[in-house]
Amino acid sequence: MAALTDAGIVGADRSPTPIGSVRHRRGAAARLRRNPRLYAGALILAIICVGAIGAPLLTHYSPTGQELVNRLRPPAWNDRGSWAHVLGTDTFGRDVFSRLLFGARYSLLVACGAVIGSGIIGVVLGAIAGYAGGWAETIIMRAVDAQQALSAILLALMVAALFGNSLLNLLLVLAVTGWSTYTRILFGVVRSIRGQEYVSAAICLGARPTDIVVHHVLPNIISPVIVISTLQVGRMLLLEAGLSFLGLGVPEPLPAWGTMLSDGYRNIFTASYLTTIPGIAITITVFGVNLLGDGLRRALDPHVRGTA
Amino acid sequence: MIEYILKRLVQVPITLIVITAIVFILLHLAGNLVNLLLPLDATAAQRAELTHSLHFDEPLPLQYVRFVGALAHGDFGTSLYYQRPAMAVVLDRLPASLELALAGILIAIVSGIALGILAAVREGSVSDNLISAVTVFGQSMPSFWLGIMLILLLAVTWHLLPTGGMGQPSQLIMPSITLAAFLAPQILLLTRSSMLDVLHDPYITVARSKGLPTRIVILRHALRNALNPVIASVGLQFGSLMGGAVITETVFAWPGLGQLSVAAIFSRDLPVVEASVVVLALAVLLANLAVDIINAQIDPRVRYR
Repeated sequence: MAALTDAGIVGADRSPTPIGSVRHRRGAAARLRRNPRLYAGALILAIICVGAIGAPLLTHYSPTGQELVNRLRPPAWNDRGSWAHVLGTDTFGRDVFSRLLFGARYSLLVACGAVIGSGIIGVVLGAIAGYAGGWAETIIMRAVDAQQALSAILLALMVAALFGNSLLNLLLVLAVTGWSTYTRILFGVVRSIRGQEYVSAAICLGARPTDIVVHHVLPNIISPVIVISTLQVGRMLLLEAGLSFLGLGVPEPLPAWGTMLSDGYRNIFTASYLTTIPGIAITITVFGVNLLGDGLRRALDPHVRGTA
Repeated sequence: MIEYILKRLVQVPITLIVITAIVFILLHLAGNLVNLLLPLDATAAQRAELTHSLHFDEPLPLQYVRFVGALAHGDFGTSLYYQRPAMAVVLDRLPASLELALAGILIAIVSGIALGILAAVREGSVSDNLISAVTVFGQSMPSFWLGIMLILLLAVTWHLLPTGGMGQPSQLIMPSITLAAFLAPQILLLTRSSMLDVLHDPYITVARSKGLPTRIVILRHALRNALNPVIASVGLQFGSLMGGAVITETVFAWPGLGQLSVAAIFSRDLPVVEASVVVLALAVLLANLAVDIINAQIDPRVRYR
């Protein structure tokens, strides 16, 4: 028994539950359970993803198939509607429900793609600015200021108008407008990590900057990156909708939600459901994303654990 | 304090230079602007003439220096659409944008701070949870879509307000609410969390135990300290607010800078695009500067960071 206890004490001494250990993870799991927002958000997004992935099974209408005889049919709950087109049809007689399901694919892909792109740019620049300091910091952080003063939508408008609107351009535009959020937050995080004693110790032991970044900095920025990325997906969905509304989003006839909304807006007085329905879809999805992001923040950020 | 203001003032022109560089590079990356500006059947001579008159035949660095030099004089060239100096066109539209932005910010600040205090004081109550839920939901809405829904409800169905335009006070209501809906949730959530931080501080307990009425403790003691992060975030959000205004102005046919820049981008009126981007960016930078100075005035710790 004594040996076991000793071994236990020695073992405990050697490993004071570092981040990523079993005990830490169990704590995180318990916090997740106490966090209803996280589950609500995940559930909403799961339903939407199932709808997007299973679109061909859930509807037999093609999202681009036109049925001009059946154009502008209102949704089923309307007197003039029918259950053949649950959410009605648009100006070209395309089934709104089908466009909504297939549109989720494009909207989510564009948003996630843009988040990944802007995340990579933003994290790298934030890490460089925070770790290297000096000239690199000055240049990068002034660029962040400039980016934030140049409202995202205006920059995106300029790029989209000059280079034309295609799916790829839209992705690039959104990525270019999203990086500064990462850089601004990670700059602070990385700089505070750089000042930690264990990093100084590693430098004294002869660790190279790349070793320090890979072994000490990266593990510590994963949580903030996950949280920012989740919330950014919502922001990108809204930005995509805004750009589409101005006519610079996912090009027709691809059924992205923003494009559907702006299309519907042209018939706002005769067929308001064409604007209302995609707007509700965007709102619910972003709501799910925001709940998930908020839940993740509460679960992963030690500063807000008490208030979860 | 003066040293802090000077330090911040120096950053404004630096950031502006970065912005003009971004705008300049974007415009030149876009390929041959002369082809964009002239009709497809323009002759080679016409192309050469326009290339020369726009100085596009000079080396890029020289063009940039010329561009920045002209900017310093507020000269963005002549609008291709209005045939007037681009800066004058932009300045004509500025008051309308400022009016809308100020109305939106005012509504957002008043409602955001008031509801944020209410939620924080009644932490955990039904009203707190309701306010938080509505707020997160409000943040999830595309703000221009909210504007469209307002038009459908208040203008089309109930005939209470005009659908758009500018001139009468009633025409300001829907656009400013739409703009405020974008900013208010963030102000609210931040007020709530920073009030919660402050309300648990010992000095609040002291104030309460002195027998001060709750109203005074909250408004005079707690709020003053809780507002710093809120003010800072309003400054940071000003840029996105101007972006939000671009779409809001389009929805409500509000004749401001946002609507002008969208129209200019579509008609490839580059001098107006440049002028409005730079003026909007300058407005954001000045707003940030003002917020920083107010913050440094309220909280001396900021000056020494």
